[in-house]
Amino acid sequence: MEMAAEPVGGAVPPPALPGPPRFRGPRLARRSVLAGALLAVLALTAAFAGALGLRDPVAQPDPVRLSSQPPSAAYPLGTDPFSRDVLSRVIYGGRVSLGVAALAVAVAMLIGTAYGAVAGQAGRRTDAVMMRAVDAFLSIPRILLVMALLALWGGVSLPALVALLGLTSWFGVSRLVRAEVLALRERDFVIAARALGVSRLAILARHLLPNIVTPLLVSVTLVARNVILLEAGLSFLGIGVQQPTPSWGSIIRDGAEQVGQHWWISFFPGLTIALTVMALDALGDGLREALDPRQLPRP
Amino acid sequence: MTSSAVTPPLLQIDNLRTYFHTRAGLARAVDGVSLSVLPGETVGVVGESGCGKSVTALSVLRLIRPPGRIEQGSRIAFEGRDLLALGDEEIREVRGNRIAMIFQEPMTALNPVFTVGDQIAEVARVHAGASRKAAWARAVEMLTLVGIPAPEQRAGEYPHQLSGGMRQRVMIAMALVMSPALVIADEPTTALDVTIQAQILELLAGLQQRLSTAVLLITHDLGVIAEVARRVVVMYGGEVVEEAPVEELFAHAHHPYTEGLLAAMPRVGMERERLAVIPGTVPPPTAWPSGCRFRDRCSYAWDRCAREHPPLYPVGAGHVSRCHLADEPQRRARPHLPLAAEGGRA
Repeated sequence: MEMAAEPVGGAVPPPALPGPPRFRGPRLARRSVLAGALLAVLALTAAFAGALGLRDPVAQPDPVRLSSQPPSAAYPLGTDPFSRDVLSRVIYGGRVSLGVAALAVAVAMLIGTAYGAVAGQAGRRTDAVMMRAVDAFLSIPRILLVMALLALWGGVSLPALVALLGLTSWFGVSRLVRAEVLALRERDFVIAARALGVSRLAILARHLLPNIVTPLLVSVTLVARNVILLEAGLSFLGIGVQQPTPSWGSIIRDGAEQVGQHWWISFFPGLTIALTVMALDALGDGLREALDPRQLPRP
Repeated sequence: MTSSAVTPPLLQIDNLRTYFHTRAGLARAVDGVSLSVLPGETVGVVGESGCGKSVTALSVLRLIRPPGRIEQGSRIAFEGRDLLALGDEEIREVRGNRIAMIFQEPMTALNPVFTVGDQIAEVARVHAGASRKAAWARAVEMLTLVGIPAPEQRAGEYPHQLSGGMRQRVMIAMALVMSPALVIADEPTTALDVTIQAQILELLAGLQQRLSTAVLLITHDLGVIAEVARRVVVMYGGEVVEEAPVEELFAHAHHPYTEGLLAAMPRVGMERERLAVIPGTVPPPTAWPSGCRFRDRCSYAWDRCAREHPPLYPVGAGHVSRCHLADEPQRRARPHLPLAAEGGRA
């Protein structure tokens, strides 16, 4: 990207004048780069957990003698009360926690974007009805909403959990998208597109959405952190990811009863959750600063 | 009106009323406008901000959004079809294809996230169903046509990489992709430097001749009109107040508002210290004055002007004026300070 106020022509620049500083395009703060790297490491180890030569995360080699062993060379993060390898469980748990979160975020972004775009392009009345519905959902604390639904559902499968988390996470996104669409649709280039005979759907796809990629990208990190925390909380309560499948929340639960003596069981998954959430926040802040000088309200 | 009897007009607007139903009241932004454009002709529409020029333009393409509405009884005929009766699909077929629009501010009228070639190509894809490749070729061809150097390279650039004049050339290219029968240019040169202005007008006039496109040129600048238009429509307060061939208007302006506009124009060889101004401002469209809408700012206004809404009087060949002076010309000899200048009521 160039600022291009003036044509930058000529093969050989005059050596004497240094010229104006070049605009280098958006740059992420170092903090955000580190955060992104940490997230990448977590995601990659989770994705390729099978290739890391880890122990089976659900195998219980010796529930009597190997129960709740402290970290050692053989078990870097110790074992849990069922003699399972905590390191292996945290990494495989990342597969579940991050996988569930990624899919739920995808669901939430899709629904939220579609809903917000429709509301933003619709007439005043439709828009009002749609957004009051969102307000109503937002007024219910999400953890209560999800717990009530889970109680009705009973033990849930992973796809059901993804659906549930996704279906309860799009409200903020829809607000954001609607606000952006409302602002954009009065912009000259959207009116110009209409004047050129571009259809509504094409205007949405080609002229509105590409212009809101930035806030959407930032909101992905926010939705993801919330979904990860929610899933961890639910699994900790025993109503999220079901045993013996490891997820970060359920591993904390495994060690919760003896956290005084066997701290390592709950500590390492807890630390991983904290790092992940902090990394997502840092990445979101960095993206916001790098891509958009305006401050965005948190959805 | 002036449309010569032989060729039927390309665009015929009859009694167009576009009202905005706002909380502050009913804004009659366009209130009974009639005008016509012949094939290949350039018609200028002049007036101050707020006189309804742009709303008229947007109404032709049915781009008015709620709370705005084109009222019952309005008629816009184009190529023999009533545009107001068309379905959404049909009007989209007209937009950009038969009628195209050029906007005032080429920076904001181009999508910042796509290359200009992409945006010109989009028109060809929408209306001609052209393939990606063919549409791109067409975009490059259009950029050549509007005189952009190194068009292949420029097509791949983003709007912010181009200068204001080049961006307006891109807008013109977009408008002309489908060789429309009518181009509506809404203040096409207002945002540009004076030197670039002349280039763009020249380009527009040249292309119009080559492609025999009719142009409805909307501007507040009589200088622009003088350069390119054949016929002029002067608007004030949501109405047409005067219409005449361009030479006739400059030589024998009839309506006091047009007189005021002409007097406010700088002219070569004029030894005046200051330019004349028209006292007061355009009244808000929610509260047009009774009778003549210009009477508060008019230096000839008399009691009849408050009582009686003037019709369009014929005052010459193809020349009409919405002023009672046509009926009582002797009053032109007795100008006085307008109400707006006195700041009070008579």
